[in-house]
Amino acid sequence: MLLRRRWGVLSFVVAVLGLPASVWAAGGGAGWINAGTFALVVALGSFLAVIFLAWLIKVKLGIPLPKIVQGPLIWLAAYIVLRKFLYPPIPFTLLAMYMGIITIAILLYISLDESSFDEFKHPLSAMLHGTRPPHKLSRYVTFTAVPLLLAFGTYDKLLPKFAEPIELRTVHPAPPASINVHNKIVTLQTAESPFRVGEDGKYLKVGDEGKYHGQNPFAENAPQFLKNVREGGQVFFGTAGCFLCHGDNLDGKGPFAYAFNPIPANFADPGTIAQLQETFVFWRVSKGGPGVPRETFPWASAMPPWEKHLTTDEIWKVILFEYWHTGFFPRSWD
Amino acid sequence: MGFVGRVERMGLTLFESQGERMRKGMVCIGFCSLLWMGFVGAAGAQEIPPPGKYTPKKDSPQDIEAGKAIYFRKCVWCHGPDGAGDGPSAIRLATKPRNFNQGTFKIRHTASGDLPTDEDLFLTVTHGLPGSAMPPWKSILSETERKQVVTFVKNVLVKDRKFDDPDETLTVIDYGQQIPSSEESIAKGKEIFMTQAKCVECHGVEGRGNGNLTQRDDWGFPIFPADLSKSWNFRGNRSEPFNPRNVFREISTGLNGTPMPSFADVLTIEERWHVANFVISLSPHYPIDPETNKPQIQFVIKGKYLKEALPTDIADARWDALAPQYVGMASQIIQPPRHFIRTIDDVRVRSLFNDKEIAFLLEWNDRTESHLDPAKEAIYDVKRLSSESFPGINTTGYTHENDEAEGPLKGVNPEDVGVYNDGVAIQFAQEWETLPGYEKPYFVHGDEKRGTDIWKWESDGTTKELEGHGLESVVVRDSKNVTVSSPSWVHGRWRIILKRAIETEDKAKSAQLSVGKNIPIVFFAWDGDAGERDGKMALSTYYYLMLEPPVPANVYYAPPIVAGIALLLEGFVLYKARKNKRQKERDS
Repeated sequence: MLLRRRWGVLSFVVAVLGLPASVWAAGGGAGWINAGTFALVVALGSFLAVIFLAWLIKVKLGIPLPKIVQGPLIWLAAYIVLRKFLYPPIPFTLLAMYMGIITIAILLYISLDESSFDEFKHPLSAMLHGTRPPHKLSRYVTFTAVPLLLAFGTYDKLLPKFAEPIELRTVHPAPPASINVHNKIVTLQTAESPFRVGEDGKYLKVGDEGKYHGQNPFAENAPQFLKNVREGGQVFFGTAGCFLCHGDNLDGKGPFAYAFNPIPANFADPGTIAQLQETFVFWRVSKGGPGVPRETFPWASAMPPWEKHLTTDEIWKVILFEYWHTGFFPRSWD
Repeated sequence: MGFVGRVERMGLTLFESQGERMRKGMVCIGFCSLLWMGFVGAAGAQEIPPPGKYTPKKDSPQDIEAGKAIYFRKCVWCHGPDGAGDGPSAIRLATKPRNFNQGTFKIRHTASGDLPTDEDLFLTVTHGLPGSAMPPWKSILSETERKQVVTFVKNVLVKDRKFDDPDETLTVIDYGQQIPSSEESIAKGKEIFMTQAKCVECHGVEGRGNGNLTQRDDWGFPIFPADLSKSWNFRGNRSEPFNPRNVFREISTGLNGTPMPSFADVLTIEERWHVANFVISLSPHYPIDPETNKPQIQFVIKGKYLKEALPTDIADARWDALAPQYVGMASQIIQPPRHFIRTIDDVRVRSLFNDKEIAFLLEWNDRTESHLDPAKEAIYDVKRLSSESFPGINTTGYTHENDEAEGPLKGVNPEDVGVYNDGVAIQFAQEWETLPGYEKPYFVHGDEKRGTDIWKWESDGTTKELEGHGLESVVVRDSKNVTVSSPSWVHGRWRIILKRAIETEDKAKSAQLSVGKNIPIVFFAWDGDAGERDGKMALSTYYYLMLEPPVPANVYYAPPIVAGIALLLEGFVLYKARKNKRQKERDS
């Protein structure tokens, strides 16, 4: 009993830490771990997680489930977790790999020792040659259900379904080295927003403008930085009307967003402007949908090339506004 | 695929390029959330104060101060520095941002003319006002922040009335006993709608909001009756588009500041429930995308095969067998002439084809039947809707269009004159089958390199086939492949059938359709009473048209074969098992 409990605690710890860590490592393909180690970690993690779940069912919940039920149950639980709880969803190949490893882990768990395997096997052989009425019944049911299920599976597989083709689009394409906006060459590596300035009129290092995040841009004595923010807001909501797609709360769900695919960028999400240099945003705003490379599907984007509608200053100000409104900082080059 | 799906696809590509760190974080969060799954209950239900007298909360100065900071960061851009509804966005919107100063709020639980409850304002901030630009703030502001910003609006921006004024009596309405929807209740509701309550006068016979179109709200802005056949656009739907409680509330309280009165004194509680059930029955029950609060969008338009000739009559029963597919429409705000206030926000599409031809049944709601007439005053005239006519809210000095903006396109928007034709168009890509990968012409009428084949119908009865290489280069082609039958505008809705041969003679200029392929397709629509013509229009994004091939025969004969093989295998297993068993028995 003591041994079992220790097993349980140990596998709990490893399951909680190990499996997410292994999936994490798998997801990012992190540099510090090579493929072999990684596979080992995933296998070990899954195996311990399986044992933990089995322990949970048997000892903690006190349900004396036979092995033949436990196996599929654990498999199903793992599938649901991988399929429904991971966000963003993992690609099918990855899912298939994880499920394969988990299947092996379950088989290992079942065949740990002779008695365990017998316990697993027993209901199967009872179904096959049992003579009592329940055994017979289970035999008839199984032998009818299997062909029917297979037939249905075949039908379902062959029946043509017309799902939308999966088109993988690069959301953040590689930027060009420099762009020409209003007959001026802007080099993305070195350009700076002319409006990211402090009270002394000098360029504010990225992050230093945080002190303006909670302040009122409509105050009469607002510092120059906030006046620039205010003018950027007037572009966002007035002149340009960016909010119609990108949302009044900048979450990419403006009044027209539902009609578009790809959907407008969500600036309130830490994965968009917060991950990008300000000059990258300048490029995307000034050149718009038609200015992105082929892999980003320029033909489908509803983002206008704003250089045709706005002055260079207005573009820089609206970017300043987007960072101020969401409270994010642009990525710096160093 | 819904909005989330569109996000997920972005997620997939993110995983391959940037944002790895974020993804890893998400994975961990996923697991943690699994562990906590059992402990976290459902989000709190709507809090509605009990019926009768209501006393607004006393708000602390700290909350008001905190609310002010939030207001000046998030809200001021629409509602203005003084809460007068005159932020910079006011010039771009037809439902103008709320002017808080008078204390006039539409969506409330309180009697007609009353101030709203604290909960009402909180729920409006939380869920937003669907169909308008007011977004749900629940994902951006915490519950505390939302409550704080409400205290700032209540105590500082509402100027003409005071929530703590003893003369202000707030009475919360009584829902009574809800009557569940049934055919009987809907029929009763319809009767009241058409006769006793006269809802029909403004909202129209089919509820599409095409009744009285000349009304104005308390601030003088033109206001149009709600289209009751799109409950996902009801301002007060609180993210539950098909819940009749929201409609009951609106019938009972009226919408302050608008021509919509309260029916609390005219109809009994029971009668109001019947009307609410009837109103909800007017909207088709599309699955709703929780992200956008609009019907979920399926990006594959399904064309169904018919053996016989295609129906040219809208009333033909074979159309009824198809589900109308929802296509979302936005304003063309990309290129000049930019257009900000489209009145057509969706088009419903059905498609049938046979061995030779294809037919589309297109339907869209339009409150006005418009025909070209420069002398007629347009109902949705942008001048009438825009802030130009209301200098009080036009503090930025911009006009409705971007004429006064400083950019290079200053002054390119043509003036609207009278009423234009209504219209609709379908756009295909020329020689789409030869385009590499997923490549397509630019979705707004194509680009220099890649041309588009546009089938356009206008309400003057003309049907044109256009060749588009971008908005500024669209020419009429001299071909008569597309025919239109039975266009009709009835009770605020256009319905029209477009037909063409699947393959035509001019293979280069007109798109050749084929069965079983994903054919890129885009939809456009024009409302002539909203100044829409040419590039001023409502447009969709890219969809795919799939002419579904007849079901292949192997679908029917393969499954029995598989089942037969499985049976044989089973017999073998059983035979083996029995043999083994007998062997064992003999051995022992």
